[in-house]
Amino acid sequence: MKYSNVLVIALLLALSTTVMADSSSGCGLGWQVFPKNSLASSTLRNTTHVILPNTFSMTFGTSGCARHDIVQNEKKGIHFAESNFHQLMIDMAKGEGEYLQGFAKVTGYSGDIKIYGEYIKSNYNHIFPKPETSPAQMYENYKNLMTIRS
Amino acid sequence: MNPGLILLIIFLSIPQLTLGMDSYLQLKSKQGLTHWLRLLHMEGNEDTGYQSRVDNPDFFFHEKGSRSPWLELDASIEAFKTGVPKSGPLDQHPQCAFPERFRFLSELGFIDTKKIECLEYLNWKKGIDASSMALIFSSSFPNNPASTFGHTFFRFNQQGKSNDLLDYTANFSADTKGVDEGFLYAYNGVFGGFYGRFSFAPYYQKVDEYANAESRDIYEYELNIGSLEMERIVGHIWELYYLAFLQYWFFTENCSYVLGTVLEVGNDKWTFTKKNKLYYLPADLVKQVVATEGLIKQVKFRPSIRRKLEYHYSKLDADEKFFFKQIVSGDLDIGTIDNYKVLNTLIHFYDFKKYRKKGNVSLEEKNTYHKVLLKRSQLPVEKSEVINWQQYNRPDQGLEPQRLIVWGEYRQREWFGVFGYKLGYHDLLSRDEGYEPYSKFNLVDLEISYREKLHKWDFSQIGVVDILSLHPLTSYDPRFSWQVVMANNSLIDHSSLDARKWQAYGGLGVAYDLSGRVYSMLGGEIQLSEYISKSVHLGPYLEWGYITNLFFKSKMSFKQKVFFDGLDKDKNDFLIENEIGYGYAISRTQELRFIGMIFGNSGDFTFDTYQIKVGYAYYF
Repeated sequence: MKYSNVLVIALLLALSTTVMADSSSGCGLGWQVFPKNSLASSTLRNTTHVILPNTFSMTFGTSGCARHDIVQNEKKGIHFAESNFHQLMIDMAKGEGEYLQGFAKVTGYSGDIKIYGEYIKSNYNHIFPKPETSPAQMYENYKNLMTIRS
Repeated sequence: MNPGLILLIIFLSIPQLTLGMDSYLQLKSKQGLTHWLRLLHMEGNEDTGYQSRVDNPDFFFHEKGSRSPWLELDASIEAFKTGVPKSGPLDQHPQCAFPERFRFLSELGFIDTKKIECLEYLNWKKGIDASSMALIFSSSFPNNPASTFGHTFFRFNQQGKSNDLLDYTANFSADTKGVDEGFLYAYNGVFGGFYGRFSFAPYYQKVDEYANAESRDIYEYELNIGSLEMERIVGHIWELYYLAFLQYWFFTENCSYVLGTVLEVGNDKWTFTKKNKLYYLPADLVKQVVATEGLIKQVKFRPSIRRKLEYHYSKLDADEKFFFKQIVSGDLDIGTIDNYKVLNTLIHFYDFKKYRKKGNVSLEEKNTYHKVLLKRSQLPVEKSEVINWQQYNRPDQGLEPQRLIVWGEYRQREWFGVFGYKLGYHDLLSRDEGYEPYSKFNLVDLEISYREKLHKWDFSQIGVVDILSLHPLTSYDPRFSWQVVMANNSLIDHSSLDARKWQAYGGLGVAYDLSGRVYSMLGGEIQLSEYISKSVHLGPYLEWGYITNLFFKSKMSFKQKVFFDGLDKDKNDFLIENEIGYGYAISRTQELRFIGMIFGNSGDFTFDTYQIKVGYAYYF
């Protein structure tokens, strides 16, 4: 029955690979958080493995793998836009939602959230002018829109 | 050894043995021992000796601090007073590197040194801005083996916040150093070859990772935690974040176990890491936290991206479903649709698909999605809808995974008493609360019985793994179901009671919801036994079955499996197995079971080839 013992060991190891390989124990993610050559990735993807906080920032890691520094408050908006691009797209089209509220906060909007939502929704075609609008473009369009508004 | 030499060694050792004992005894008398041991992550006791789970020396001031809480106590007091040695990559003052140790020892009167200002710690703490915290459980999802047991992490609730997404999370995970799969990954994971560390991320990043990218429901257990408890926990996480790494064991000292030990630092009365099992699952932590009186303030549910799509699709009537499908297939232009329900379902469909395909959707799909969103943006803001989500996979409501069972088994005109132990997770006849419905995941399923004719106890079943993942096939998410089984069983249709076989099979199939779940699988199987022709059977198999919930907390299942032995062309080509099962949940821990099985070759059933089992199960 030697072959059966080998089978058992092989299967147990194979099983341990699958069942415990929660992405929490690895890096996971990738495409949706920091797409290559994106705005946030170029400014924030400092995978130095150095975990020093600086005096004006939060230090945090992503998915237990690389650690990033969010170095300036104004970049929180970029990071949020990049990380939540797809959900933000939906909330902006609907003119309401948790992600839109969060985006308003990190970009410094403190007025009436309903008016904000209406404004964003009615200008959705300016924020997302084409299907391939990137997070960086979206963020720029949004900033321009908010500048015009103020 | 010379007795004189022994006495000399003992004499010379006395100062070492008693060093630190004064403070230590004071600590004990002040009821501070529990917290101190927890801060050091010590295991053991004074009789057996102590050993910290923290593996790096930077975490201790004394060179023997990882094994001696009293030496570490004295060394810590000294370090806090003198300011040396500096600790960790930040080269911090001891007070700054170990804020909770310092606070605790000051509170007990061991230190009266002036507290210094720790800028790094204060800025970090200010950034987190934690007024309370939540234990977050990212649910298991059996169709994705990588998430079978779920995952836990902490979320710190910011003061006066209006949005959970902007909170920060603390996550303990293994640093796999790029080894994310394969044999080496499994080996290191099971045998403690990785080290675990804390990391921080905004909650929105974790939601995106779990609820969106992996389609896993999230449960948020808001904790009823006081300010002192928060200070103890946050201060201690800082100590671990910069200075500690712990050996990571996937089955025991994993993310949830370490979170449990950190949470225990908050209050000496809390215990979340009782080691009464061979493993510690994320749901174990949740269950123990929920069981702690007064600790849970609220449980919130955050649906996965797939759950949202299911919900919106289920709200469509027949006409709306028709329009939905027409638009998805490209047969209808979105310009004609201004129906909220259809547009919302389309939005969630394309969003889901984009995540599922990791962004690799076609240009046509991108264009359609863009049009859908543009169209949706032209409609007024919808009135907010409060959705009452079904929380059937809430982990604290699930059965315990270990099972003891007593079967009365009848076969070959004889009754057997069978005793079984299962180290499983969930199976088809168990109550579904706390798990993905209609799923089966058993790791070890052993049954032993007394063979009167042979006068011996023997294993009647050695189940190694048994996974059945039934994913209902839908137009919006057409995915395969699958199964993997490996076991050593009695050969029921053989005249010898001693006859056994090893079998392993796996297949892919489809499943549908039909007042329960009906499924069909096609795959390959190998059987090995000296009692079968040529000692090996190898070939394809076809299995179909149906599982449904009946009245009074009971479930019923039926399955038929047909195995074609490709190596035996002469006779017994088809091995047919029919099984009917019934399970009745007496309570959350007890269950009654009935299994009836009939076996045959090419449909030729005889009296001796059936088996009936009636059992009582206890989960713990």
